[in-house]
Amino acid sequence: MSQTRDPRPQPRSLRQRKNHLPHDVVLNILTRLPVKSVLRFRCVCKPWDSSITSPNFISTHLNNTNNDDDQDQTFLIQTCIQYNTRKIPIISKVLCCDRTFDWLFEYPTPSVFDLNMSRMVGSCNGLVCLVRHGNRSTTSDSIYLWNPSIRKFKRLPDSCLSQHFSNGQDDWVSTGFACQSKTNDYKVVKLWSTPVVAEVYTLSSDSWRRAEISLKSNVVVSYIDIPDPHFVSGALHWLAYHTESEREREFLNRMMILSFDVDNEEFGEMALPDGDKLHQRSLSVFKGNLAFITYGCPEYDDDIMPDSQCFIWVMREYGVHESWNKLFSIRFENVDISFYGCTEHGELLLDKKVKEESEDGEIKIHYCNEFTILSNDTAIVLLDPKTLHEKDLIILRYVTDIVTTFKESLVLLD
Amino acid sequence: MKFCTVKQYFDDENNNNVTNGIATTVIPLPNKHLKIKANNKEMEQYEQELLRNVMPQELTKLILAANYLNFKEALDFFCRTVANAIQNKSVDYVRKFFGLESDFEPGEEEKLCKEFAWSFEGVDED
Repeated sequence: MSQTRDPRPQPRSLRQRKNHLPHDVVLNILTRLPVKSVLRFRCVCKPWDSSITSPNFISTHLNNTNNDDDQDQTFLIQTCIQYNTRKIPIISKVLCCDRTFDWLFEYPTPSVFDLNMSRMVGSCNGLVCLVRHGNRSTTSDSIYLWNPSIRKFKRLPDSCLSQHFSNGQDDWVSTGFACQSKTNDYKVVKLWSTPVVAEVYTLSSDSWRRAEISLKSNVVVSYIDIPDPHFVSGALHWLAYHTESEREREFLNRMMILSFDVDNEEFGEMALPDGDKLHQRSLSVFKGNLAFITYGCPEYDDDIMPDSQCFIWVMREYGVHESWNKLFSIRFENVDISFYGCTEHGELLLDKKVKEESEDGEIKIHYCNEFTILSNDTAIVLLDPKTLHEKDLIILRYVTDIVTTFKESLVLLD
Repeated sequence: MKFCTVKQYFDDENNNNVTNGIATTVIPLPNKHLKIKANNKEMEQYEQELLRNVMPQELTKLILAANYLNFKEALDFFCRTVANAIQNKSVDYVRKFFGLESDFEPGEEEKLCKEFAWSFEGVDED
């Protein structure tokens, strides 16, 4: 045998298995696979099982999903169909829809969720937070964290304040879900009334703790505008009403944004943009920035106008009031609109209902039988606010909620 | 900078990692990349063409070559291609492809398969 100086000496075992791929290359391949394939390949051998369940692998796989712009953006759609007879049960589903709204598939939900009584309040890194409402005054809400891609879920322990509230008429609860990217941790924030108190759950410690709401200028939060808060710029944001100790003011003017910083666990406040507001208000996230959406008729107008408008304000620099910018002002003719959210590409999801005209005051009589559906059907459109181009999303029907931040992931709950 | 190891390759006489055939495939890639870098579609088509002529087992050799030459773009591309090729395949197919054997204790593997039984649905026949 000739003695050649091999600049990269290989151990004997590697030289024999010359076509075997190094482990880091194998991981490079595995992190590019969809979740279903990765889970199946846990059965290939022990080293693969061990790698696939490691936090490092899960993060890398998630980051691959984040970068694959066109492929992996999806939406979670909650639908509900109730018939005019108890013989047919209410059908509630969670569906997953691709970015272009061309195809749908259903995620099986654990029966314990009781979807008819549940709502998805947020999603981060493939985890979904779902709240199941309790039965009036007997039980409080149950909160679940769910990863539909790996079909695992976890019920959160009851919060420390669960026992203390009676669910009377003036009481409300709002739940928010956020992730802390620095520590790869997840938090659930619950706001109760009356008076308004807050609790925070952290997944890594699997426990709740009270959180103080102490705002500057002695402002006290009196009411939260449901629906659920939005997570952006490292904080959860609610539309809230506040009272000031001395003066009486117009109710609608006392609206503000309540924020909760996930890192330092402190509450803060922000003012809404100055300018005309319409009847309906909502917060949202527009291309990564906090947005304030107001739509419907002008707030001081008592006449029912046939046209609706929609204003979209975006806070270009987080926390800076002057950076509120009215990006879009859209007019809708002869329709009622409901706002469902913004996509990551800055398109709006709206339910458009053409206003029914009654001729000569005639009342329309609808013939009902047991196959009549009582639930409100929806006509969701995808609207590009820049071009005003609309796409009818015909595969979406009877939608009660849309989660726009969902992606498949391997994130575990333990 | 991509080719610091290429000179080494040409200097080696007994190199098991890279064969001539591979060299003709992997090395022209960067030039091609540069020429049609602006047009992603064209690159995709070129890559699909290239790989239609290559057997899955050959891909392993291509990957080793790209890895040895420290050529990240080619490595990522080949890994992406392997991922697409195996994503719907069975566990047995994947074991054969990577030359691996099951090292689970009896019963362990069944338990794991049962936990994710739904992920075995719709898998390609071997």
